[in-house]
Amino acid sequence: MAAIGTAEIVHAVNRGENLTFIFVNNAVYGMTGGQMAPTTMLGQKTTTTPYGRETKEAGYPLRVSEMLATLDGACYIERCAVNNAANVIKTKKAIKKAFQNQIDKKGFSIVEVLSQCPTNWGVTPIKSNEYIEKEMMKIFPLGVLKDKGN
Amino acid sequence: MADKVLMKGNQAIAEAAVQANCEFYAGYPITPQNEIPEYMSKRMYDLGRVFIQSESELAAINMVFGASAAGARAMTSSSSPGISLKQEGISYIAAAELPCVIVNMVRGGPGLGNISGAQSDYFQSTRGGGHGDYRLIVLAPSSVQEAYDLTMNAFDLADIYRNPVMILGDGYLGQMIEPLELKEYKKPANLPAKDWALTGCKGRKPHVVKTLYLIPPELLIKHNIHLQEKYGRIKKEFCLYEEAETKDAELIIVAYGIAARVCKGAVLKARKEGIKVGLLRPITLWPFPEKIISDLADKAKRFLVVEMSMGQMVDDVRLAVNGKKPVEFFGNAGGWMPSSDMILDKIKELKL
Repeated sequence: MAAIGTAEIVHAVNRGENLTFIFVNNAVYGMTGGQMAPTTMLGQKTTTTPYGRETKEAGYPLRVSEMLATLDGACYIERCAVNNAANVIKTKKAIKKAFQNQIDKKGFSIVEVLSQCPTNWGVTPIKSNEYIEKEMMKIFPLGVLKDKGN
Repeated sequence: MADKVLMKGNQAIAEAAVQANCEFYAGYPITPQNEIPEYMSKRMYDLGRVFIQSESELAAINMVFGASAAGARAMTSSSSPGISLKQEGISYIAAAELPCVIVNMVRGGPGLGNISGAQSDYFQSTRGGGHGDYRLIVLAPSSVQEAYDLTMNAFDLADIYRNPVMILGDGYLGQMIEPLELKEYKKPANLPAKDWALTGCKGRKPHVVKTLYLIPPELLIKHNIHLQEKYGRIKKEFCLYEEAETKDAELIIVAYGIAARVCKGAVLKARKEGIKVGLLRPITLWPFPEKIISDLADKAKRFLVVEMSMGQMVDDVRLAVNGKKPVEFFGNAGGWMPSSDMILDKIKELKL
């Protein structure tokens, strides 16, 4: 949704489609083997940024949730993380709320979830939790970005 | 003597592109061809050339359109679903008569299918693929070495004919590791100057690269006739194939790419048992080696087409044989790969 689906997500939100979108942001393309994603951190090494992501070639980490929160069609947008137990509980609550919005036909909800990819990041699961906390949250701060469902 | 190295098919294609002075690569990740953009992300960066991981396949092919219009040697790569996405851009590039190289490491379809190798994009590749009357030159390697060699040729052919050239491999070829001789690229003497490229028109008449021919309507008819004349010229000048044991063969197997390699094994086994069988392997899928097939149809008794699809090239073989002899088909789709024993059984089943 941050690259190949950008056009479609913008217009789906703009139409206020009654959908729930769960956006797993682990800063890489995990399924295809760890290539750069639009949300890859500056300096982060991936299989297609062997020297670390540089703005000159690859631009900046894209804050899709902030971008979509500017649209009037969006109902509820929150960014969560799953790096510790407290945040996992918050994420569950956010996802539940998003689906409740959909059941209540309130419109488009997005829950962005900062997630680990220890395999493609090349670090241990514990280190990957630390990375989310120390690095990713600086660029992708947690919190409610939009909530007009209440 | 050049160095020999062990390389994956995908890496060999990427290195060949680098050697052939590819100046611009744009692509978007998709399995089983990711080693191409991954390799290019390092090699092109080190050489100060352009590597872009685009936001989509559509973006990548249109970036190649732009780079090519500006005179750069440009390439993109993908696998089946991604190549489908690129078709609009490919049609535009063919219409604008721009050179570029497009690599398709085919995977099982339709839809997202799977990530196994397959040969089910034959129709799409050899009939143009997008809208309008156009053709791509389609090269189908069957080994890592041939993938390397043909990729170099692809850039030259693209420049000579001002036409997109497709390397049609498959997931198996892309992932397979084989010894590779890293031959040096030799620029052919007959490469035309890019006197149509958009390089800034200060002090000269502007060049025009376009695909829209609205008024008068005759303009588009004229453009299509011009394109067809070019495709006719390509067909006359250029066709590659490999023959094995065809001289006295009563049964001719026709197969391309990785399937042809398996068939070759089956032919050699059958020959040991005294069965008169030969192999014709088209290397160019367009232009299709129809003349040699027609000639073989005068001598042989029967044809067997083997494809890792439900039967696509078999149509072209039937057109070339033109009813002279029966043409059988053996194949399956969705990542299926025949063994040489399966082909051997099929040969025996046909009871020569």
